[in-house]
Amino acid sequence: MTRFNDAFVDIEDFQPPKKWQARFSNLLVWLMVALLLTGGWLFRDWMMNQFGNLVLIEGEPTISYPAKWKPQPVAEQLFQVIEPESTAAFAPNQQVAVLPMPDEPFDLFWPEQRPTQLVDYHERSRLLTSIADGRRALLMTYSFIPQENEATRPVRAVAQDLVFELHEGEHTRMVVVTIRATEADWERIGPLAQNIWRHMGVVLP
Amino acid sequence: MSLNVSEPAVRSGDLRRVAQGRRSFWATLLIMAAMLGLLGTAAWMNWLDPLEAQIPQRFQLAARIALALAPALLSLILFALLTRKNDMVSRIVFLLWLVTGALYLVTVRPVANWLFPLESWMTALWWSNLLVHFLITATLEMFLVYLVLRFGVYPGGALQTVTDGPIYGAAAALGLATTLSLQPLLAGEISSISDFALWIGTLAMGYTAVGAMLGYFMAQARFKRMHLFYLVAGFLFSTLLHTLFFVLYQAISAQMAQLPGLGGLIFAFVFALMSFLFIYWRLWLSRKDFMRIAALVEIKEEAARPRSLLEDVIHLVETQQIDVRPSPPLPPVQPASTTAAVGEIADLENSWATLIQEQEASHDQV
Repeated sequence: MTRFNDAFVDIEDFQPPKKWQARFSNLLVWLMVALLLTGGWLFRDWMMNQFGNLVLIEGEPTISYPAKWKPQPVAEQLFQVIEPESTAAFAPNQQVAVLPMPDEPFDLFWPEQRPTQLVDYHERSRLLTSIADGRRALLMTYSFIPQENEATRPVRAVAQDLVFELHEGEHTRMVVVTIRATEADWERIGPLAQNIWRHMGVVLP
Repeated sequence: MSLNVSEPAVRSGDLRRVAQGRRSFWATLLIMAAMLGLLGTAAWMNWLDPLEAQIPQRFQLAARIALALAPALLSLILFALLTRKNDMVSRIVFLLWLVTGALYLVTVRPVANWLFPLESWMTALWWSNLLVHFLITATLEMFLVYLVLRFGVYPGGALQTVTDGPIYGAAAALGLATTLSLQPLLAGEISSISDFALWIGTLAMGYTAVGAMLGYFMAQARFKRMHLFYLVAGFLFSTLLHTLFFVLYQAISAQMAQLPGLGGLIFAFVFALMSFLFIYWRLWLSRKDFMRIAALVEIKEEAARPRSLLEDVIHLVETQQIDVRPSPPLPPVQPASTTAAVGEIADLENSWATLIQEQEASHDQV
């Protein structure tokens, strides 16, 4: 195949661009960068609006949750939101519980306490980490069979607990943030949970 | 083939100069890849951790900093040794590496933290990663490389050949890679030296490739009158390549959960190989074009040149470009003797006639 250049050569093309051409090309690059960064700014804004923030105590770490999930009153929990679009019997949800501080360190207490509350509990991973302000936190991943699902066919659910201390004056309490979904949903909810933890400043591996 | 101007505006010598290649660049790249490959192998075989354990605790950080600087410094020294005939290029390459690395710390990093505090909202979703890299990280980093090249080497005489674009682009991007590899080290986020070595290699290979790509487009736009959108398209392409590198790196590292660092390094090698093959191919075509045009321009130049040396000399004398003096006087011209010449010709004719007669006689006898 004959290339275009082999058939006809314009020698004008083989010399440095005129000053205005060079300046115009440079200006276009600047405009493109401005455009891309504006896009980045808008994307950041949009992403930041994807999460709601639950403030437990002024000055203490806020708890992020998906902004589109609906709050639902639950007696045992301080706060619960569920995914409204879900048609599953066990809808993906996020719970926040504020519990009295145990005598022993929470990272030892909670892994012993949690299995007693759930049916067929299996721990998958445990990570001692920290949240945004550097305070210690425990991130546990486990599976269980939800009790809410007893009437229908039993399904296994996967959950992650983020446990950390909450300081209220002289009192210290233990906060447990739980994100739960069925195993089928976890493929989708797992990355979202990671986002929520990242949003809260949890240091993840 | 036709040349559409009667009097070329460029000289063939300039075109030939622009078309020159720099083998030292490719040799340096190969050796750098080999060095990083060795480093990666050492990390994979777990040789680095026992070595580090033998170093006193207080010197371990210094050793890691030296390791982070080693690939770039060794490559720059090697390049300088290979381009001894052209000191200017190696000096510029070193300066670009240093300046870009330093500028990243004082410009891109603070701007990214201030305008786009990524840690507070960046997510682990692949599409979010892709957009964040493309719209923010890659754009800012490639723009820094662009600015350094645009104001550092583009206007002056530093860009001598089309191959210089990728060389300078790679050097500037290597400065970025060095700073980026030092950052987590100084922040105390690096636990294993093996992981660190793999990370250094990955960054060096990836950034060198994307920087060279941007440099290639800039050099083309510097020496040829390309389309007005050519440069911005090149910038966009390089930014996209930068994004793809990081997004694919993360995906591959996640897939190779057992050996995330090694998987990333292997990917970086493949990525750099593909990118440099593309750049080499484009440069080869570009150089071929320049040489062809140089040959055509040379024909035009030859046609416009006076036909003989004597005409040149007369032209120079007439335009008083050379100093011609009448002394010493020319020797008197001796006229040739006509009678002597006539005698010689008559002798020759007699000899020929005698020879022909002898030959005819011998034929008759036969």
